[in-house]
Amino acid sequence: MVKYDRTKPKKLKSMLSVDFLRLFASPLLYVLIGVSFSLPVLILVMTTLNGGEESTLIFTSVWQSISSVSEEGATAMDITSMMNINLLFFLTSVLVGIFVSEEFKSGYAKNIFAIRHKKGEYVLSKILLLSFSGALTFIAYFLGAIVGGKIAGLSFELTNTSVTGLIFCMLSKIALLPLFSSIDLLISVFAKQKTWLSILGSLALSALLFPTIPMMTPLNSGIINLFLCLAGGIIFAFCGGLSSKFILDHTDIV
Amino acid sequence: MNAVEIHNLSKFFGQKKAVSGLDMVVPEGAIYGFIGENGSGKSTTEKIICGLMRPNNGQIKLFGKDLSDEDVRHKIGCLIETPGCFPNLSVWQNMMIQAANISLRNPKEKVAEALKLVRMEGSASNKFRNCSLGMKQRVGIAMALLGNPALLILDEPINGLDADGIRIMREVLTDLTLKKKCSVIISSHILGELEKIATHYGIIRRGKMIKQVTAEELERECPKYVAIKPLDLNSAENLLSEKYIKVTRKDNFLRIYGDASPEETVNYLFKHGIKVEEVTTEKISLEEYYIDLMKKGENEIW
Repeated sequence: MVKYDRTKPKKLKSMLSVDFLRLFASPLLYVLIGVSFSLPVLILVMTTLNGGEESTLIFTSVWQSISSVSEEGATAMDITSMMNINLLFFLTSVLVGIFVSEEFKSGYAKNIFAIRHKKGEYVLSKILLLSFSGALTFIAYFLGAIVGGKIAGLSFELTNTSVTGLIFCMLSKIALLPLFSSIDLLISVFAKQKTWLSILGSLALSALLFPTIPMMTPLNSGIINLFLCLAGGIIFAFCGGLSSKFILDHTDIV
Repeated sequence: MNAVEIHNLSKFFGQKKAVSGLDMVVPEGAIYGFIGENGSGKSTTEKIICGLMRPNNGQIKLFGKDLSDEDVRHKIGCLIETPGCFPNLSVWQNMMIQAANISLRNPKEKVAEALKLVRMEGSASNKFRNCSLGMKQRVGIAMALLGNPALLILDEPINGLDADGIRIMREVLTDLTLKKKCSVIISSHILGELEKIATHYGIIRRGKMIKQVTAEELERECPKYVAIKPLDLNSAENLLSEKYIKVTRKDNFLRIYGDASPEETVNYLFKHGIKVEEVTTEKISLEEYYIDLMKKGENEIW
């Protein structure tokens, strides 16, 4: 009797461990974290280099680089509501596009799917991983905003909101990441080796959903916002994941 | 039990038939030499067996089970086109990733063993992108071999390998099939190498299997001949053509097919004043057999 050293794949666990190993070994993650940290520093410092007259300042508070208070954010699409942490959703699209297309280009996807028939684990692992890496960039941006605000000498005062509102705002944005990751993943598994198509498609879809983010995650967010974002994130991740699985099941991998 | 059984497999890319009604049987423990021209459908067939492409038609069974069965799928080791490694990771990291993918027991030990087997143990810390073509191919082979796969599918594995690499590959494959009953499908254009290890052959042309034979059957089908190198080639050819049914010329040698013995041929030429420099008894090679079959097939198939 021949003894095989291979055991039945440990489903999601082995897939996730490989993905995390790859993520932390990839320079892409550190570049994106670096960009996420530098972005608010640059935005806050550059926009206050106008002689310091308060009436002409674009940002008057550090927290404007995170989000706007609900009433403002829902209507006004000014520079502060555009140039804030929500930009990172586009960065997530770039990350997903490069990360997934690299798997198809290098031939790694062949190695996975030759031994696995079920594609669901692959999809779920990618959504979890990419949401996690997205969360890391959000944290980096938050820290960058604090540093940038200090350098620019901006106010740290929370107007019309509280620390709890700020925390719920950040958590709500992070809860939206599975939504964006799953949509980006869907485009990427469709585009396969074509990185440009993956990135452009993901950016286009992210741009469509972009206006809803300030409404869903204002600076004065509460538990309802978090719940809605979580529900939206899970539902979209499920639907997007199923669609990605369908594409992988019904198209050639190579 | 057969390792692979394919019946009436078809795959189209738009209007183009890549594989058309292909039947294929690979017995367990066989080294199956899969031969065909470029674009004949070898790689497509191999990708379908690995579940990387969806066929338009046909049935595929691996070890008697459907291709979608997870139990058989994780026993496949393959090297198709590229090794599937990340260029910015080291050889060791890439191997460990594959070890995790196949849920290997004692991964570090097994990865070290596989790298040693292909003489890459000294380059484990090298970034994959810094490896030469031959080294990359060796890594690909090591990845495919991880954890003793029950079915190994290798697409042009000896491309880019040096003489030592080819020898190692030959030894490893023979060892795998003899000791571990692994079944191997190997496609290659280097037929001389394939001939040394294959136990079965499948010859594919324009997506159709035109011949499946065992090595023994091939041995019987490949005619023997006497090869001589006379000093006067033209006169010798004329003389021998009168006596024997089939005489052909290749380089500076004449080949006499049929019942001719070397002694009889040399004596016959000597009697007619023609001296012979060299004489041997040979059989036609797999390469010649294949070329001959392709020529015949041109008329039979299309």
